[in-house]
Amino acid sequence: MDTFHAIALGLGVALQPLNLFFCFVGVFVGTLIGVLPGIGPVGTMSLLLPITFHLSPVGAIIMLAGIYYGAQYGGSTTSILVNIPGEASSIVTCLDGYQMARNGRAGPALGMAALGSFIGGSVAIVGLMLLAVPLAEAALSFGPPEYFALMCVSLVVLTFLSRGSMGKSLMMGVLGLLLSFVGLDMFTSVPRFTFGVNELSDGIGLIPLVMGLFGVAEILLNLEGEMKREIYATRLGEILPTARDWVAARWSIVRGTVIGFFLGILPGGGAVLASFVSYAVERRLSRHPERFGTGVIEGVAGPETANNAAAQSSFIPLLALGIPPNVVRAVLFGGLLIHGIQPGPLVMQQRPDLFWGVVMSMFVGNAMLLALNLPLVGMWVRLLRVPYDVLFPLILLFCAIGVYSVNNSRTDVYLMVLFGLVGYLMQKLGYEPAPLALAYVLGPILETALRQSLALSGGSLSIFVTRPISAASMLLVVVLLIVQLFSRRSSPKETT
Amino acid sequence: MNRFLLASLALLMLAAPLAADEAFPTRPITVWVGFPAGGGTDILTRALAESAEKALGQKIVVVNKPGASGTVATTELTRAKPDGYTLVSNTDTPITRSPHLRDLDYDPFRDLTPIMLYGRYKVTWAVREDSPYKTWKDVVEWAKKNPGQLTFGHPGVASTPNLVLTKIAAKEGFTFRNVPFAGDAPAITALLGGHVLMIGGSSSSYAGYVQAKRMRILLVNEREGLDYAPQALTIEKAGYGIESATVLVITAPKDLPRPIAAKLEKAFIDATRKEPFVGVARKSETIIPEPLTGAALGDYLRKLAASYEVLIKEAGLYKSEKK
Repeated sequence: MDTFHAIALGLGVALQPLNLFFCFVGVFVGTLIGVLPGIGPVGTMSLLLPITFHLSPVGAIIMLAGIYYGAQYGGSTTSILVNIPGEASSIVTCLDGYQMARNGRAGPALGMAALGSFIGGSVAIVGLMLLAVPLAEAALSFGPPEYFALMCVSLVVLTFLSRGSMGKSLMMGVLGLLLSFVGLDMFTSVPRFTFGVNELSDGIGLIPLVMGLFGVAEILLNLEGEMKREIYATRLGEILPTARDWVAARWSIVRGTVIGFFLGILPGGGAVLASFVSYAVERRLSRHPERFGTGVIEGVAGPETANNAAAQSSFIPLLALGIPPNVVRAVLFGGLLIHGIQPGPLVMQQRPDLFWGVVMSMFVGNAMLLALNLPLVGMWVRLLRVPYDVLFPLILLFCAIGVYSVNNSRTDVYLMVLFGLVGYLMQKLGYEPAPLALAYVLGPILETALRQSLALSGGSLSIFVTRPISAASMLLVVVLLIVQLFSRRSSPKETT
Repeated sequence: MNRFLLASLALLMLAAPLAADEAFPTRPITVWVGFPAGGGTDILTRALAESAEKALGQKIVVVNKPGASGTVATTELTRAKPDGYTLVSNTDTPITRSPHLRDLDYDPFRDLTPIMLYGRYKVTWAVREDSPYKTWKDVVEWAKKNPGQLTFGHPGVASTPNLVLTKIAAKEGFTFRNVPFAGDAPAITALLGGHVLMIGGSSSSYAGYVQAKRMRILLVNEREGLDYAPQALTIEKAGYGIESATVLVITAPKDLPRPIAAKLEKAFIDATRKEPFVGVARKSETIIPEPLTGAALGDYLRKLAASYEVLIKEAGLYKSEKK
């Protein structure tokens, strides 16, 4: 079947009234749970899984997929408005998005996030249609050594994220890595740093960590003094990004799309990696890197475009090879299984209606999301007018419910409170939470990949330099470190 | 007001056991799954719950409490009331393996009431379709000639495929490189990418790749073999004689009144013969074994735990051996 016929078939499936309806339900629910901090797509999709017992497989997958990429749109909303990442992939958006809101520019930030997401998502779907099969095969050449090298590049890139002192953000990065060691050792099943708490055997959950460090800590900070809330309330009329914003952000969007698309394909990589690599790249290429972190539109446009492009392209391994690259896709995988479709490389040949129908529904869904989210921007901004003594308890409540609902675990709620206090102290002492959170995400991938590589090579480190992809990445690490050292030395006053 | 509520709650609790046995169940039953949503155990539990609801005449609410190979849910179960309204659906791991790997807050044979065994996963060992090893014998011969060169991926160190291969390697006299992955999916990715030579895992994860001619199954730990991979050797025909299985079990807290246990057993046995459970089990390559309940199930789990203790010790993973 050539691509043209395939697209026609897919459109036919996606535009059936019932499937249009499921698509709408999916993206609508996705937007809502994206906005509610803590309640993530994984929990929602698994709650809805039993309902899909009774739907057609195509409708079920269209709806579940809609929830996932819908959440990517909604996830940025809380990052921008109240500095709580709705999803892990929106952590970076907090850096400049929240500052934009504090400068009275919440509207343009939200608008740019929605439009950037739409552009990134749509371009990535075109890429998915044309390149799914060859790209999925290429992604297979990433084994443990390649992942280790990629993670090394990411950790070096992480140091570009810091706004304040380099030393402090490195310390936070190391702390994030250390926290990621909590849990059962993968190779020996020995508990590490769990202090006899069985709930910690799988490590500290990312959601309680992020919710605590960002959300609870931010609320504690705001309790301290008179908030300059009149700043938020001004210039409500200016909802959409201005022409100047577009000029500033156009290349960020292009780069964000490319970065997101390719990192999204890698199993395990995905939207989180894409969002912060995009931010680091924007900061590096910017003519005014010192202004990043104070509310620049590029810092929102790049990562938000990238995470949505990655959200779409990460369907490539699932649909073309049947490999679920992360938890969300594992739930989708379960959805396929319930409907008697064996996920695997044959799905594309055996059920072209499913493959192309779901892909085309993503176009429809992205358009719906844009139509849904742009008018909502004004409403979200107005939400900031809600008095803080009402808003903050509500946010805390939603955080607690959200954190509990992930694993139905009380321990997670206690952890969130603990990290809230830690995050509060960190902010008071001038330490940023973003490097910690991102190092925490990358740590387990780094450790696992290193130990798997050494198991494969029988202990020899040469495995990292004898394979072309990892050798090239390692070279990049060296180059980046030298560049970093050189640029720091030539402009010692760069830190603000 | 609060005091009144507390008092009436206390009264209810006192009164409950008297009436409960006869009328059970009078309200919805909660089943905790010790594994994440969307996984094999979760999907099968949800299907079983739907099939059992009619027989019990009450809703069954399935809640995921994932963590530490199912032991988080089992630990919480030991603190729940033995009234039949709180159950756990897990693999045998928290009962037969985890206690040998590390210290836990419960004794699996003292603090639980086993209700029913409702499924068994087929465990398989596979290579890439274009691999030069066409049969299990080929792999063993090659591994013997090239000590320590066989790279083997699996979904975790205490998983059946790893423990069994460790035993086989000791019997056959070869060594291999042990590469754990976080589940079947990343191990499959590594095999397809050519990063490991062989993987072990569940038949349900592998079936699609075998049918698409990307993967070949060489060994299976079932008496019957596989419909979709008839050339695969069974562990019995290979003459290894290793007692190993990954089974799915429903458990309740200890001291569950016998009449309630009997009602639950009957309802779940009934459910394993009904849709949607039968269909979901077939599609996910899960065997529905002859019903095993009560004391017979307890004996079976004891035997399994004893054989896993030996396998875990031989793999050097036993808790007291780790410093």
